[in-house]
Amino acid sequence: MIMTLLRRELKVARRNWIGLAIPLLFFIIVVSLFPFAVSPDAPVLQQLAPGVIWVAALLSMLLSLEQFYRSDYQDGALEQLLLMSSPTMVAASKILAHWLLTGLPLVILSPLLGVLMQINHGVEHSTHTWVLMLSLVLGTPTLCLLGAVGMSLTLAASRNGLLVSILIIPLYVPVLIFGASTVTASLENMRYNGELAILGAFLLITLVFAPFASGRALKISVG
Amino acid sequence: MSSWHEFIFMGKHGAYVWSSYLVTFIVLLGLFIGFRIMLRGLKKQVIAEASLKQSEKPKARKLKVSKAEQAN
Amino acid sequence: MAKAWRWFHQLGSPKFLFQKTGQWLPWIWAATLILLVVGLYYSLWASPIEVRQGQKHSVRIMYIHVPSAALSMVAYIAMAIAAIVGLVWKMKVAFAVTRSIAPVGAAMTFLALFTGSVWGKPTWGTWWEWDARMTSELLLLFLYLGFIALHASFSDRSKADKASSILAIVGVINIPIIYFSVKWWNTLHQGYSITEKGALNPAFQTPLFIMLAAMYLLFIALVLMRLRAEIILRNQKSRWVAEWALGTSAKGDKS
Repeated sequence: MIMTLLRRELKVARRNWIGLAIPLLFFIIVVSLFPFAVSPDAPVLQQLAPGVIWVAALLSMLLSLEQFYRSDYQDGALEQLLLMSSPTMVAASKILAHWLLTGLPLVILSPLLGVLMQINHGVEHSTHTWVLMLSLVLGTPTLCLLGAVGMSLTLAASRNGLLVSILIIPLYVPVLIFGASTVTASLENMRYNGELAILGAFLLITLVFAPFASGRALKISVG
Repeated sequence: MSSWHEFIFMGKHGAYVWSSYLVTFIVLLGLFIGFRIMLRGLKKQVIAEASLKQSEKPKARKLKVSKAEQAN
Repeated sequence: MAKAWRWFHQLGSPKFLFQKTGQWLPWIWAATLILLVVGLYYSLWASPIEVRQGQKHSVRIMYIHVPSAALSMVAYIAMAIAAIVGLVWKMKVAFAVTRSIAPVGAAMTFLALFTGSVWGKPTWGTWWEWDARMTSELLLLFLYLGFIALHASFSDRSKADKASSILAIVGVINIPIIYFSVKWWNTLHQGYSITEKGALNPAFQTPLFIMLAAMYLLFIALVLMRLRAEIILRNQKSRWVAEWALGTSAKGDKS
């Protein structure tokens, strides 16, 4: 069942690939602003890198949320989907598709941003890039899951574009803290397994309740 | 507390202490007044609607009659 | 037990709840005012100043800061419980309760932040510190405002109720996570903890407990006031509301 739903999501997304590319472009452009605003000095940028890349990733995830739910809600496709299968399933397939199409590309693009932010400054062969990717792999699904709850809640609301950010950003703070500090720990040559483990724990917790909550919220928005 | 002077100035910390208490008071009073106004406003609305409903049918007819009379 | 259940069901009736709260409110206000007068007398006049940590008179801010901070969290939890009751038992009055708690809870959160900031300046020399408690309190304020904003953006009230109730429940799961994350983050950055615990001198306990009780009652009274307005707002078309409005206005506008 979930495969059918997922295949549908991917098919819809393929028709709208520009819409998917824009948040990624945003991700790169926002990060590239920092050297202009702060300083092009490599040590300075390196110190800022974890925070900047993580904040940019978070914002671009927020941006991409809108198109994953809005159009389906407006053209009535969501209603049909909810008739076909359980709300939790619909929500789960949307979350999975959302991560595959925005979270995963973010992870793949992040080494490039690591280069822009001089994350490897001063070391020849470093694992910083891998740590950054790993933190994003564990962190971005949590952002997708929480974002799905927020987006499903605001679907039927009248002003939603910024509303969803207000609702969701406080909930994103723990992920941001541990995501960025994983990378920082790596930059300071400290152990970062603890942070990664906590990111994993967040992922498991949200995995348990977010699809269900998002499904309920979709039902409320449509019904 | 030994004197009124101390009570008011709180040993150099008067501004901090009194501003905290004052802001708390203002915020809570604001809520109190706001909720009171809200209930009053709703009550007025309900009364207006109720009186409208009571007088709707007979008054509508009377109104027409009186208008017709005026036209004459 | 059966009696408790009957009460629970009766409270589900807007009319019953409106009448009962109308009867309770004067008593709650009376108790609140008495406790407030006594509490303010103690906290502003009859309590000693703090010398050990050099706080002197600014310790008096504690008597409003601690109650408002405690209430800001208790209120959120109460709101989430009401949200669960509303969603699980489909009890409409519970949604009215969540909507009534939100503004008062947000005000308490704001007051906790404000008084904490004003208390911090003379004591620790800074208006703001990214301390675990202050940061969590700030995020809590955002959660409250998000709840109110979400509730206000629906034209359909029953959708607004359900959606914002889900948000309240998701938020209450997150509050401890947020708190511990920020706490961990804060110790990582070696920010000095300005909220270190010391055994509270008994001389400070009396005014604090009286003020705590007073603020709790004040909170309940304000929530009930808001709840009464909310009940009327939601039942404008009911006959009993019209009877109440006409009846009380006939008796010389006593509400």
